[in-house]
Order: sequence, then C-alpha cells, then structure tokens
Amino acid sequence: MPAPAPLTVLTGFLGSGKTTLLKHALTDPALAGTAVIVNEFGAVGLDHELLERAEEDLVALSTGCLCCAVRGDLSRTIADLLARRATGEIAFARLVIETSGLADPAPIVQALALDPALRGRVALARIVATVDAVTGPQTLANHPEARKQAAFADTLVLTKTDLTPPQPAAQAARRYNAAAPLLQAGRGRLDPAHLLPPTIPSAHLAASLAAATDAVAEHTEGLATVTLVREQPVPAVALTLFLEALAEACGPDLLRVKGLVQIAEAPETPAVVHGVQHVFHALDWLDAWPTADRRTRLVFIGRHLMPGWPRLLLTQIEREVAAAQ
Amino acid sequence: MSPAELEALLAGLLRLWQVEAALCVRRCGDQGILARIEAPRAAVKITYRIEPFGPAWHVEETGQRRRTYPSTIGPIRHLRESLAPERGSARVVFAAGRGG
Repeated sequence: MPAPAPLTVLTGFLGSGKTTLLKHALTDPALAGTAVIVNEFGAVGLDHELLERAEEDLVALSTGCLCCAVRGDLSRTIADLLARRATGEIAFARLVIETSGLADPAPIVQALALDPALRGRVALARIVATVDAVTGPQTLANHPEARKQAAFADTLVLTKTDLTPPQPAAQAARRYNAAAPLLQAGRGRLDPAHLLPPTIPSAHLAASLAAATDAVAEHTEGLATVTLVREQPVPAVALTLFLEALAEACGPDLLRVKGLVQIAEAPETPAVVHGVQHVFHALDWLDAWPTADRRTRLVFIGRHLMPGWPRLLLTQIEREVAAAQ
Repeated sequence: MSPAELEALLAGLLRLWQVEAALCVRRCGDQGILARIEAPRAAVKITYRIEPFGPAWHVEETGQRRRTYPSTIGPIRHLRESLAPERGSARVVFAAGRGG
C-alpha cells in the first residue's frame, strides 16, 4: 500500500483570510501536487489564468494543483479523489481541506480518522487556523466557533498583518492556544513550508514537540494547555488505560492530545500520539528519535485541566499496571 | 500513592467537573488513605488501599452499597456519575492503522 497522503485542515473564522492564503499558496511551485477540497469552488476565488481544466467536480490548475468541491460527504469526496489517483486519472501528493468559516474542525478530523474507506490512506498532517489581525480579538471574544478553531490548531496564522500591528490579535489567539506556533501572513503570503504538509506527518509533530517543556499555560474560559515531559518510558498498556481514564474524566472538554511517547516495550522507536477529543489516530511509530532527547512529551489542551494532573493520573495508572503484572 | 497525591488527583477531578466541594484526605491505617468529598449532590467516602490482590479503590456513598474498583478508571466514572452527572464522558476510539 502506498504511503498515506498527508492532509492539512485549514480552518479559521469567516473572512479571516483562509482563501487568500490558499490562493497564494496554490501558485507556489513548492505546493504543486496539492489537492484542495473546498465547500464550493467560488470560495477559492481561483484566478482564471491558472485554470487549466474544469470539470463538473474538479478544477485543475496550471500549477499542478487540483481543487475539488465537497459533494455530500467529505470522506466520500476524499475517497473518490484517492480512487481517481489510483487509476492515474489525476495526480496529487497531499490534500488540503478548507473548512467553512463556522466549522468545528473536530468532527472533520474525527470522521477522517474513523472512516474505514480512508484507513491508512490519509494521515492528518496538521490543523492550521487563520486569525484576522484586524478583527481577530473581537471575533475570538464573540464567537465560540472561532475560539474552538484556534484551540484545535497545530499552527496559528495571523493574517492581514500588513494592515495593523499583530500584537493584540496574537495575544487574543494565545489565550486559546499557547502551544501552537504563531505565524504572520501579511497580504495573505506565508512561507509555503508552513502550509505544505510534510511527507511524514509524524515527523512534523515530532519537530514541533522538540522544545516542549513540562509546563502549563492557562487561557480564558478555563482552557489550558498542559505539557507533560518525563524521563521514564511508559508501558504500552498504561498508555492506553491512561488515555481512557483521561477521556472518561474530561469528556468533551478534552480538545487535543498530541505527543511523542517512549514506550517501554519499544524504547528505540517513539510512538506518535495524535488525538482530537476522544478520537485517536492509530499510533504511528517513527523509525528513530528525531533528536538525542528521548523523553516522552505530551501536550494536552482542554478545559479546567489542573497543572500536573495528567502526570499524576499517568503515574497512578502505571502503578496499577505494575501491580497487576 | 501518598495522601497528597490522592488529594491532588481528586481535586483535579473536581476542577475538571467544576464541582464546588469540601475535600478532606488523610492516612488511615498502615496501607490506606481515606478521602471524603462533601458536594452538593452527594457525600462520598473513598478508601484507597493496597489489598492482597493489588491496589483497590473502595467508593461509598451515604445509603448506598460500597463499590470496589481495581483501577483508577472505575472511581473516576463512579464519582462523575455521582457528583457531576451532567458532565459528559467519552470512550476513547482508536482509528485503525494502515494494517487495518
């Protein structure tokens, strides 16, 4: 089976600049071979000179990118693209889903993870959320959808920073997500490396966690980012029970869990944990540790999480597992 | 587990569920820790003890039968249902990997 296609979810509130960001990105040669799935073609605002071929459900660009509108079910749309790629009808190396401005990214990511038709064929590379530097503070204050989009993001992109100093919007976004890198995109332009999903999604996650330290960042509305860094390897069964206990305790208030874990049974190959609410992608195993640092690093984003509480829970479950063995 | 750890574990749960409660934890006997939670919805006594078969959580509510759990997930579920039944729980779902 070929390697799974890396998939980026591009989200952000209405008018926050997702389309402008994509429009510029699609003209960059570095992003050739990208298939973009949008709610409707008009939303992307494609330049006519870029259009190479337009079918009922697909637009091919001269840059080697594709655009496809969601028809009914998102999973089925992706499965259809993959099937057409398999027959050689179309070609692409990565996928980008541009959500609607009011979308909650969680169900989208969960559906992709759980759909049997997509099993092992796509892999979530990252969730990118745009925040308007001009209206972002007010939007985040007034719209729960925007707060959730920011909280779920692996990467935050401040747009329209050519129009206003970015600090207020940066501070507002940080209240909901202290862990994600915060980038700036004036005039909708961003280094494509930040939007370009890596070939191996897990490697990106590993790199983003390289500098993680044991810490907690409190946000507004009870949202908190808690980071757990530990030296001791984790028995595989303890990790599973830990995640189950976490979901049992936190319920829907657990937004994201991501990290690299040193599993006791396979300490040479780190396991990548990637969860959106209670849905976890299958554990992905890296061939080797990305750096000499082999510590487990887990980041939890959720409401009302107490600093140190995930560590305490994991330690207790480890004791119970050890006692049972 | 130490009394301080049990207290922090229970305090973390109460905070997660936004339950205002009085929490009192003390050592009981050589091997046990006793915790009492007085919350608006229920009063719960929790005894954590190392039994011959391993660690055990005994959870008791006023007027109800004592329940014993061998792992932390059990008391978490019990306490959530008693103290904060309106808070949703979730079952972890692991997506299948490439091998199915």
